[in-house]
Amino acid sequence: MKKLIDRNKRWFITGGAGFIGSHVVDLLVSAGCKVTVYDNLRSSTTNYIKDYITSKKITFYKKDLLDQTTLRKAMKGHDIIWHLGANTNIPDGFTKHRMDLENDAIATWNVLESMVQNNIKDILFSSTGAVYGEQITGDFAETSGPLIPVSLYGAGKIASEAFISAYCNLFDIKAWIFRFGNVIGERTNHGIIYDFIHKLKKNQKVLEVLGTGKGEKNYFLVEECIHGILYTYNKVKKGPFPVLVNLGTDSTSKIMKISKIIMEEMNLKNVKYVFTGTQKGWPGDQPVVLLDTSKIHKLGWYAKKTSDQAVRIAVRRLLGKEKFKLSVDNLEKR
Amino acid sequence: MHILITGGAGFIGSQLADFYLGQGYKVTVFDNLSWGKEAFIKHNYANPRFKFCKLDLLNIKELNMNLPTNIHTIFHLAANSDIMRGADDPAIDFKNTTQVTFNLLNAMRLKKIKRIFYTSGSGVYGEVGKVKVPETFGPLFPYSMYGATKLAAEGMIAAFVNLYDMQAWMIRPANIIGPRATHGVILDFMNKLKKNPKKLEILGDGNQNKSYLYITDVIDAIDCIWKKEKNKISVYNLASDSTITVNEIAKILIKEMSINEISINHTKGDRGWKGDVPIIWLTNDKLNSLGWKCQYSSKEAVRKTIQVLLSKSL
Repeated sequence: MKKLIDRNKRWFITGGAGFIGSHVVDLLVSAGCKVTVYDNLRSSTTNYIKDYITSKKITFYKKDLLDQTTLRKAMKGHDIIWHLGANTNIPDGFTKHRMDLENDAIATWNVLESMVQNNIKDILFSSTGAVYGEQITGDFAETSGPLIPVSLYGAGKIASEAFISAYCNLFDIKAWIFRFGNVIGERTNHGIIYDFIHKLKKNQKVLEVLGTGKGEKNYFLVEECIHGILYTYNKVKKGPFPVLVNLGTDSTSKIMKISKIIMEEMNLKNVKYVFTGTQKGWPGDQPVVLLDTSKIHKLGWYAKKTSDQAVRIAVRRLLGKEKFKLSVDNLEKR
Repeated sequence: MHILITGGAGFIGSQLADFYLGQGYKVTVFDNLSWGKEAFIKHNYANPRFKFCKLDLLNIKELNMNLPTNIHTIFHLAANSDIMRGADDPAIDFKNTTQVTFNLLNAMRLKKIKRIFYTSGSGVYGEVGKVKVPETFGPLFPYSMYGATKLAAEGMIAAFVNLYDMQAWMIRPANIIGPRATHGVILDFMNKLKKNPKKLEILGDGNQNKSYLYITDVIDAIDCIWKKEKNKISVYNLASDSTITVNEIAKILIKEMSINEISINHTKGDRGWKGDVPIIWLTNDKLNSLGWKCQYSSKEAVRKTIQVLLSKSL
């Protein structure tokens, strides 16, 4: 396949200051693309993109996706939308109900409306494995149903997917929807790896684990995630739209294994575990998520690292033992 | 037992209210009367077990103020039900289907109301083609904002059920017809023919092939699911066992209206409008296994609806 990034395209990244978004910006800037970042900085900072802002390598809007007037104006003149802006904190949806509705469903809808008004056709959308919920038996495939999400985060993503689908039909939008496994790496500010490291930095003797410690999910690195998106975008150019793929590894990591990797990398021994004992880590948590990735495998894409390998690399990066910055040069070497 | 029906002055809601009043339930109706009509409910005003509240679910303050606490189940039927309008103004569906559902769920949480019966729609499936679609079908790619916003509402209901220990029944019905219908292909044709009985314009090629359900079959199905399904969350397709094309509907109507000479012309393409899905076939197996059986075929449902609408009885 030829190059994954078309440098002549003008890219508009929502949530571009965040965990995945800032890596996308690193990559696109290194490829010499014209990039605009639109982010309200509610769950992120400009830390990872501020050099680009000051050197005017990117255009930055500290604005909210709910501000439709600004969004529409900012989007003008772009060719492709990489829509990552969302509420990313799943447990928060339990107490702040309107958040997922506003920041996922309404935000996505505003993005679509602005695209129609600016005659922009292409959108890459990050959905989630959380849309599958708990009624599906076996691994979660794209063809699985019914979708009964257990969190408002999952519900907000279903809503977004549904709106995107309608806009594909009604307004000829071309959309690529990705249902992610758990994306990990540096620059995260939540999630189990981040949590465990912070707890162990505070107290090296005891690790509190939410739930029974029996959870098992698939984890993959942020650069693999971005590669998978660009790969699919280039591979399935002609639709039918929306294009939908699960994106992740086909392996998983158990919670206890994750904690062991962290302790090894932190050189901690004899840490005592305390389990909160509830069956779920938090209301809306899904202890076991097994994503069926055979569809993207058929397209020719595989995650190169297993889930456990990815966890170790992410841990080392979070501990500062490894440095990583995504660019066109290391994207293929991932 | 006290139940509440949102959209309870509308086509389906008002007949559900009649049905449960007849069974001895206490029934409260919320409706903003945008599609609903007082004419459909005013015969119940004298009934002490009936209460009507003109209310828009977008108004959170009013909703919370007027929502009683002791409701057993909320039958949530309020929605934008006009698929065509959604293509011109997507905001209509978003507000009146997704946002109102969210508002209602949040109000239920505050009032500790635990059960919701939701009328979703077969529009969530999008364009699947000539296959029988079960409830487990995926992925769901709705073609209209109507379908998209219903799917969004389903997702939110599922999340609330899990987070707040509620129970939800969700149905995905095919086209529902019968007295008090406020729009749809039959009414559309009828109005056109009343204006000009010599000419009928059909949107699309007329080969759109779907299942039509008579309203009484729908009420039976809702009652059957509500009373028999014990799972915390359930999804049911709802259709008659047969389908009918738009051209066949036109033929029946022309015959019932005793029109002899008429020129029929079709607009271009295979569908009526953007967002229309020409063919959707649902399997009924899950619902049948609960013991429900439809009384009217699609054709019978169409003929009966036409006869009732022509005689103008409510």
